[in-house]
Order: sequence, then structure tokens, then C-alpha cells
Amino acid sequence: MANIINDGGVVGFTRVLTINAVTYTADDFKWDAPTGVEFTRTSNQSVPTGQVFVQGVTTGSCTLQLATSGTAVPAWGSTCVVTEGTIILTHVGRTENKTGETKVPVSFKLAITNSIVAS
Amino acid sequence: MEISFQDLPEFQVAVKRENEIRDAAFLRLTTRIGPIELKPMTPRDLLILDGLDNPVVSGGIPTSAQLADFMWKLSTEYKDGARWRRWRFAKRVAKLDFISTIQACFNYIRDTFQDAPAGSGEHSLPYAGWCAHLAVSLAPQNPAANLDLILNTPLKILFQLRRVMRRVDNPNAPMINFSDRIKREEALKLYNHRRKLIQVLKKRSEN
Repeated sequence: MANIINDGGVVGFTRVLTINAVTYTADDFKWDAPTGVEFTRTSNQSVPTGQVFVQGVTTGSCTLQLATSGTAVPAWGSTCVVTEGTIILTHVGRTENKTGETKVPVSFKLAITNSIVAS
Repeated sequence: MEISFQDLPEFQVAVKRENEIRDAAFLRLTTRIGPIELKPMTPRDLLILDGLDNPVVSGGIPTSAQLADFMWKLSTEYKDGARWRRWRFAKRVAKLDFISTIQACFNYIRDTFQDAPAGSGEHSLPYAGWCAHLAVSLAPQNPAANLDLILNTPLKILFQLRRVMRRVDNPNAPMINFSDRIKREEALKLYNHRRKLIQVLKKRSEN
């Protein structure tokens, strides 16, 4: 039997991302798809009779491992296509090096449209 | 592209080794080099060896006397001021194969610093010693009261505690392990294979 069973395509494991034509190994993927707005309909006695949830912006984070110490750190605002859609880097953390490995933590948001323009 | 490394033998071995080093630290297991047992290095040991400019600590090639000094300081037989004992110990070290003993000492240092904090590449003038930073990061409420405890606790344990505290403070803090190299190399290799395969399949479909 396999050591890993993924029920429902849970996002995890290590991925290889290509950002601005540079490949990175990415670990510790975390996704958060929150509710942006919600409201509850109530009766005249304040008893809930219905509710609406509006999906908010999906955010996430991961740690990028650079191929070499000379590999470019991706810039803020860079985009990348992943299984779930296009992500936009909204935070690029401090680069850390040890024993020849270089890592940089990044946060991102899932793009809402296909019209992402740098201006 | 998603990759799992759980089944990769080389990666499994590396992760197992990392975890064995971590667990052994809590049991205060010694490291055997030839017939000599070295205890786990503490910040106090490092301060002394670094203060003596012992090259083994910084990855430099030591003289046979410096190698004996390094091993004596960390030896389970070490006794402060025991000159006769130290002289006999140096004689024993001199009988060991010089190159393989240095290599074993370097491996000891590598294992000691396995979970040490990563560098940022940013340099600023120091305003306090590294032990002060270690003490404040591990015992922020009262570093002075815990100083002796910290100075005499193996670095392998302190580094692990610091890592965990950092992750608790910042769940996105990157952690670098020795096994990351295998993962990076394998991930990029698989990625390139996959890209080539896609190109081949595309060409085939075009023909």
C-alpha cells in the first residue's frame, strides 16, 4: 500500500514553481480560502432564517528554495501559474542561507482575473 | 508540479540521520572518534575553543597539537588543570590517523551545527556576544538567571529549542536542513525530465 493517500487533492508536498522563467523548489504550501463577507437573515424575533457567505480572496504562503545562492530572488508582484490558478507574490521575506542552501519565505494571493497588469 | 519525497531512499536516509542526531542530543550521547569519546559541545566549550582560535571550529586544518587540544576540551576524560592527563591524552591522539581524525572532528562540528540558525547575508556591527543573543532568545523573561544552564546545555539541544520557538513565533519562518539539498536536486531533476517528456510528446502529436 502506498505511504501517502491524498483524498481530495489536498495541496501540499513539494512543488517546482517557475517564476519569471526561474525554477524554484517550494515547500510548506499553506492556503487559506476565507469568507470575505457574510450576513444572516433573521426573523422579527432575531431568529436566524438564512445566511449568505461570500468567498474572500484566497491567500497562501510557501518557502522557496533557490537552485543556487546566485539564483534571483523573485520580486514582489511576480506571478506564477500553479494548479489552482495564478498566484501573485504579495510578500517576499528575508533570504536565509545555510550549508549552501538558500531559502526565502513568500506569501501570495490567488489572482481573481486573468488581467494582471504591472503599472 | 507536485512531488513527494517520502519514497526517495536518499532523502529518507538523510532525514533519518537528521532526526537521530536531534534525538541523540537529548540523551546526551557521546561521539566516538577512534578510541576517544567526545561529549556534546556546549556554548561554553565553543566560547573557549573559539577564544583559543582553534581551527577545527572554523573548518581550518589544525596542527596535531591543536587537534589534541580540540579533542581534549570535548573529551569525556577532560579535567581542568590535569596536565599529566592531558599530556597522555595528546600522546593517544598523536597515534590516530591524522586525516581521518580531522574529518571525524569536522563531522562532529557539522552535526553540532545541524540546526543552527541560518544566516541572512546582512552584516552589522555586533553590539553583544552571540551567547547573549542565544540566552535572550531562549529565556526572554530572565536570561541572566538562566545563563549557566544555557552555557552548559549542548548546542544541539539549544539550536532545536530555538528553531521551535522561532516557528511558534512565525509559522512561515524558513528552516534549512541538510536533506534540503537532496530534495532540491531531485525536484529540479524530476521537473526537467517532465519538461523534456512534455516536449517529446508535443512533437509527437504535431507529427
